[in-house]
Amino acid sequence: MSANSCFASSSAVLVSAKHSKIEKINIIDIRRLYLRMPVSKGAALINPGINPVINHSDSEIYQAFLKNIMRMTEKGYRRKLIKRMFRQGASKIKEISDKEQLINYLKSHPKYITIMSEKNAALSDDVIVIQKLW
Amino acid sequence: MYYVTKSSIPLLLFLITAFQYCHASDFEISGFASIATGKVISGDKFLADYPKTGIYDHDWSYTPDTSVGLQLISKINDRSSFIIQAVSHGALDFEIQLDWAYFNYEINDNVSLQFGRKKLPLYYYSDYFDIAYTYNWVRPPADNYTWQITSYNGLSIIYEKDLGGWEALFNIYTGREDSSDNNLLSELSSSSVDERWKNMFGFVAELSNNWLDLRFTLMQGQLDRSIDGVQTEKNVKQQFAGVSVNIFLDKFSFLSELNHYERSASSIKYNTAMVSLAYQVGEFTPYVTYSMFIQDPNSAGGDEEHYTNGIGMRWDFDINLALKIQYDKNTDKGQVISVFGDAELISASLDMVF
Repeated sequence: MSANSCFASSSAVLVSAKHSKIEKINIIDIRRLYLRMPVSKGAALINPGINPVINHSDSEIYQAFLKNIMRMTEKGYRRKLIKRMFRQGASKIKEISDKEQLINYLKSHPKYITIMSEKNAALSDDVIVIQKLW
Repeated sequence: MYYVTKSSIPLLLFLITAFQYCHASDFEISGFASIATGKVISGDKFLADYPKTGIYDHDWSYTPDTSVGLQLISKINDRSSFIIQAVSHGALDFEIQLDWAYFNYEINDNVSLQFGRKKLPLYYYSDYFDIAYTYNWVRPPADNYTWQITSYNGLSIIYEKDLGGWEALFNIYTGREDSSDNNLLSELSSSSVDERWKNMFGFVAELSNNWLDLRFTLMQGQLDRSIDGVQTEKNVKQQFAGVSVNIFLDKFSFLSELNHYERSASSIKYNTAMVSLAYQVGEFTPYVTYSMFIQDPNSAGGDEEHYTNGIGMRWDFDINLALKIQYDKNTDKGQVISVFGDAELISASLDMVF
């Protein structure tokens, strides 16, 4: 499955803190992470304890993330997260609305990933691009 | 219901022990709240919430739909967790009750097992009936959600799988629930009704893609009932079946649900249904809803029948916060079993998750 060319918007990348050792993840596992579903065994072995952060600091990227990765509306996505939280005890996903806070959070949490515009990722010395998403 | 009373002490001790055991692991608190108000503008009373008997009358009231809940999740390890949800409802005098208290174990990437107390997943919105933030309405359409037993103690297995553009979820469960002085039945009969649903076996299937959401549900079990201490029904077979079709097309959504309940030995059969249309305009989501409850008339005079037309607006004015206003017109056609007669209600709520 490829997220390329799904939705016309700024290019987006998956990033983590510069010093983290997170390796490339396939799109299905990224989606499962953002739904709080268990990732595949392979992904769990390569990236144990990996966690997502929802980036609300860039609304264009967030909307594209919903379309390209989650393939659902924001309401649908929130409904699914809340369902999993209350039906199966899934953890809440950290949501951050400020770019500086987001980067600081990643710096202090090396097992966390987020999605940001390629341009913003290039401007920050504190994050590393794991892979391009779209 | 599990209120925090003497009878809950063993459960609480177990929970405290479980959390002490888990003290060194991840521990999370999340919650939800609905602060709602409303008043009847025509008619006498409006039964807005059947299971908790949330009833509005001519005065502005803040209790029938007001709820606050806290969920505690303790991660024992990567695959297992313990979940408790303590809820306080205005309709139940804000007594704290445990709606959820279960152990969750992810057997593999697709299968998880839950053991303990959970919501009974009869209806589409059963699992988050009290979490009003998750739906457009002030409350799920009352005619469709006329259940007197809302939780069960037992075992549940959930299987989830991605099926090429479709997400599938299958849930089988078994369990029972004992409800002393059941809220709904006692209120409607003006007697003390003890209700037990036992030997329940249920199945839920959900299939969804990015625009279509389908759900099927079946449950079979036995019922015991005592009225004022006199047993009136014992080991009576009951069955429930339901289907939901929801369509989400960008800003437009169509929600529907159709359910059938049957207790043949007591000649009780009824159908409930609802449809709702909504169209999102920016932060605003206006909606219309129609719901119904129709009982097949029986020799005992059972003829409960009511319909509700509703119109409302949801305003998502901030992250995790929604403000709603709603108008409902209920038509009560029951001759022998009339709920509260025809009534019109206006209500509003502030819903949040945190």
